[in-house]
Amino acid sequence: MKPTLKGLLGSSSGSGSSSNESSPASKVEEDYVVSKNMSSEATSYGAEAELELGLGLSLGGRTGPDAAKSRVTTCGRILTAKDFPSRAVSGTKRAADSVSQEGASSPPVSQVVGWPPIRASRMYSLVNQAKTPRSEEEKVVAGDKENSKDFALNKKTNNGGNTNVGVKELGNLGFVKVNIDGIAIGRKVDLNAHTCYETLAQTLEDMFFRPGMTLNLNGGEKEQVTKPSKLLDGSSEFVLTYEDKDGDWMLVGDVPWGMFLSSVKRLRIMRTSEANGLDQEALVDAPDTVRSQMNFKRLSLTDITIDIKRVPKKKELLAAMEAADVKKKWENSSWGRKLIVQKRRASLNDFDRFKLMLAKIKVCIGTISFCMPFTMLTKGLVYLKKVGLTRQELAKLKKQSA
Amino acid sequence: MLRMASSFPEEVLEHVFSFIQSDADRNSISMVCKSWYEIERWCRRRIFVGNCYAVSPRMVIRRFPDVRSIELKGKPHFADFNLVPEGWGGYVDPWISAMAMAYPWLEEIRLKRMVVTDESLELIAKSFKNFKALVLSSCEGFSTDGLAAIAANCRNLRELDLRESDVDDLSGHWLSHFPDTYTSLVSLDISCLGSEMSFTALERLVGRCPNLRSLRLNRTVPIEKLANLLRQAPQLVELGTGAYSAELRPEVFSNLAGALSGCKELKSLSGFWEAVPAYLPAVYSICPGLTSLNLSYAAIQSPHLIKLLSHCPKLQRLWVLDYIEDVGLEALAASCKDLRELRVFPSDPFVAEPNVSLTEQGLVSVSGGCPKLHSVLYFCRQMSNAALTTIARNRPNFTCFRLCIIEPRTPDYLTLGPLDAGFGAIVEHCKDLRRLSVSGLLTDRAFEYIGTYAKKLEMLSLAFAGDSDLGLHHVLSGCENLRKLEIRDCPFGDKALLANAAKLETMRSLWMSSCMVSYGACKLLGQKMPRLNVEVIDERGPPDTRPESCPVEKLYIYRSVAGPRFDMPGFVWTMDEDSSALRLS
Repeated sequence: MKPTLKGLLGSSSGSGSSSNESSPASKVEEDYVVSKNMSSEATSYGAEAELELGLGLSLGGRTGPDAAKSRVTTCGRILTAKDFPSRAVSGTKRAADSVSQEGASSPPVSQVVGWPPIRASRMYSLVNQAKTPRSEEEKVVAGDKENSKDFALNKKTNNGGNTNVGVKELGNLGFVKVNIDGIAIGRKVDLNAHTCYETLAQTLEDMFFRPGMTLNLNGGEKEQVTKPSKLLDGSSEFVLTYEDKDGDWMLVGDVPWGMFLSSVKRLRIMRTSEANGLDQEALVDAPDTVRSQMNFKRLSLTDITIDIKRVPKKKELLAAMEAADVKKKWENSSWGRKLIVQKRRASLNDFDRFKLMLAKIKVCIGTISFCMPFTMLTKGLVYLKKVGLTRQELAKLKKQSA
Repeated sequence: MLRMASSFPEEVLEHVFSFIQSDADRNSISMVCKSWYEIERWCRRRIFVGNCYAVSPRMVIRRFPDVRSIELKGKPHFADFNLVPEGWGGYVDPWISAMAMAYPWLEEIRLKRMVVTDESLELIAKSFKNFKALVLSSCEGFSTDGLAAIAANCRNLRELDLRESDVDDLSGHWLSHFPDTYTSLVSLDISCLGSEMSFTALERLVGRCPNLRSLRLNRTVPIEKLANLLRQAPQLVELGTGAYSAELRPEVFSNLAGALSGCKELKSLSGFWEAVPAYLPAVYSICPGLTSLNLSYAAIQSPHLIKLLSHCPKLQRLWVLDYIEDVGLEALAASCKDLRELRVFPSDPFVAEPNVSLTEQGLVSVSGGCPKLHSVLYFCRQMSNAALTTIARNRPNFTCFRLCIIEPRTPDYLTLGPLDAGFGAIVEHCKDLRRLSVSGLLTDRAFEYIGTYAKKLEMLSLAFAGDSDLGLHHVLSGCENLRKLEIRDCPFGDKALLANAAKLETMRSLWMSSCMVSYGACKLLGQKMPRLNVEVIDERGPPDTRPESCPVEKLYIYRSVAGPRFDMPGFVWTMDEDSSALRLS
């Protein structure tokens, strides 16, 4: 009996195989692949590889260049800072660039940090008045002051490739707790101020390790591009891990940034010796990539299977994939379709995203509550209350879900 | 002469000085002669430190050995708008630790924009036996555990005011830590907290404190429960409601209206989160005596607002959202002739198209109709020089004029030119102007006017304005009383700053972000002016990894007798006299 490779791994291979076609579903992925390749050609190879290697925590220097490039072509890693060459750190420049680059019709006012000059507490209340109070009822949802911290900052980062998912799920508008083993008191870091793992790791290093470390560079080149982050490449005695939505501790850097943002709850800088249990790898291959290893964390099984012998040659693999019509199945799958939706989402204004988030949570509680565990339900309700839904709406949701 | 001075007993002088409360006068007294300096320092009870890094706790304690009330301010004003990165500073811990040992009789601590920790709050609770007032305005870094410590230990606490602070709200239980024997509460402001607290504990607290004058609740207190609280405290002068919405039920409404009418002393109302117009009439009974109304969290439309305001003839302060529209402001001008302060906040500042019919006309009407109006904060989307000139002519008694045109660099919508003439008229006519914020399209001309006319100006905020260094030069050289200058996104560079370096020592602070001040200039300034702390805030990394002509991201300059500070985070560098060594934390 021929062993089948059950469950075509739905990461890079999915998008990689579609790069030759021009059907609408794959076009989306193609764009990502193309843009990624373009940007990687534009920048120095070394930088690109560093960035990619940095993203794959457990990979170290084992993998080849092609694998590295195509690895992160799927959802989330859409447009990065590299694709906006003139992105500046200050808010205003970003406003101009992002508007011109994205070609969005969203007004520039929302893009500038700290403008208009409205306090965070007030801004949050404004955001929550999503419904225009022209109706008779005139009930508005007031915001919760605690979560109001960096609303303006959120707007600043919306063009850095953060998907809707990434921005909305962070309850405290981007600030997550960071603890390092050995020190009781933790710090907080604003994830929305970063668009890639490199800068985040840099910030954390500056925070927890002596800032003098960043001065140990030879030459005055930009640290962010040339210097690999010690936390990410496994060369320091600490590794950066995070707790995700399900309470599992994962190594930071495996998943695309947007996915990371949507699932991270808090960060922990762990000693390498303790973090070893977090590594497991599989052999991965696709029509356009070199066969390589990949961490389980970055892979997920799908239902699509192909019929192959153990360790097939590339030609055989391709033939089997053709026979099983993997491409079609992928495009019809929910994941494939999701990519399209995500692209649409990326063009949303930050304010819209926030409104969308609230609406989604409400829908979630209202309609799927019958199959939700009770704890999750109460968590959702508590979050909504925190965010400032009126007591009426909360009561309604409670009734619906009960 | 000498004999006369020595025969005048100190106690008499002390007694005379005790009538003088103003800091400026006290400072003048202390400069008369050495003996007066000595007498004055022993009897000064209240200290105000406008910049916590301008002086060290040790210095304050050394000079003033018996202080009962201290007020400290930490971060620059632009921290309110997220322009100051997290971790910049403003830690109050060193102050509290030093004062815990030196001022056992300290009664009041007022902090603004500082980082407070639970440990500090616990230290306050333990160290000051006669502690009476804690005001934390826009502070952060502490949780409700710290508040519990304060509640449990400060027997004589009168004032607990957390306005706009960012509190780590773990639970509402801290309120229950007030012991049953505690009855001295006078003012409580917990409007910034988010979690629900035990209503019975709150009710009991309010009930047993007969001197309670000011109560500002948080959103979680529902409107149904408000009446009960008010019945316990009919002597309230200031009330901040909780969430002000519910399905309209006649018994709730009448209960509330009845309770409110029982509060005959009520002068100030705020809160009104999620307010529904149906419940607004409940406050009509107290409106005739109302002097301060904060509806800036209430999305109420202008017809309802007009009706409400028509009941408030004595209104002196109004904070409202731009739903009030021009018609509402006209009605305000007609009905509230005693109006002193107006703030109009935007309801939807992130869209380019106006969502309400609020224009410059509203401000013109109010300035025309309210003769006592002297303080304005106004957000709008269009403005014209003609309107500004009219406003200036109508109301030359402005002391605080803050206009924010939402879109940066918006020109006069009638002439499409800069708004220089308009703001020029403002500073020319309003001779007592102390605080000014400008916006819209402005050239160096506007700053020339400001430098020429705004002689009493103390605080100036600029954003997206000016053409060149000349603008900054006009301001720095012309405004004699300037204390605080904050600038963002203006094309000001090194020349004006260096040319007016001496001026910086006469000011409390200067903030410049996203301007064009080079690193080299900052170093030079730090070198030449030892009594200034020149802080370069740059999150891109150490500034000497970039060329000297490269502009710094953010610059914060303040005068200090305490020297450079040592609690800076990794992205802040102080330019030291020794230019070769950058001060790091």
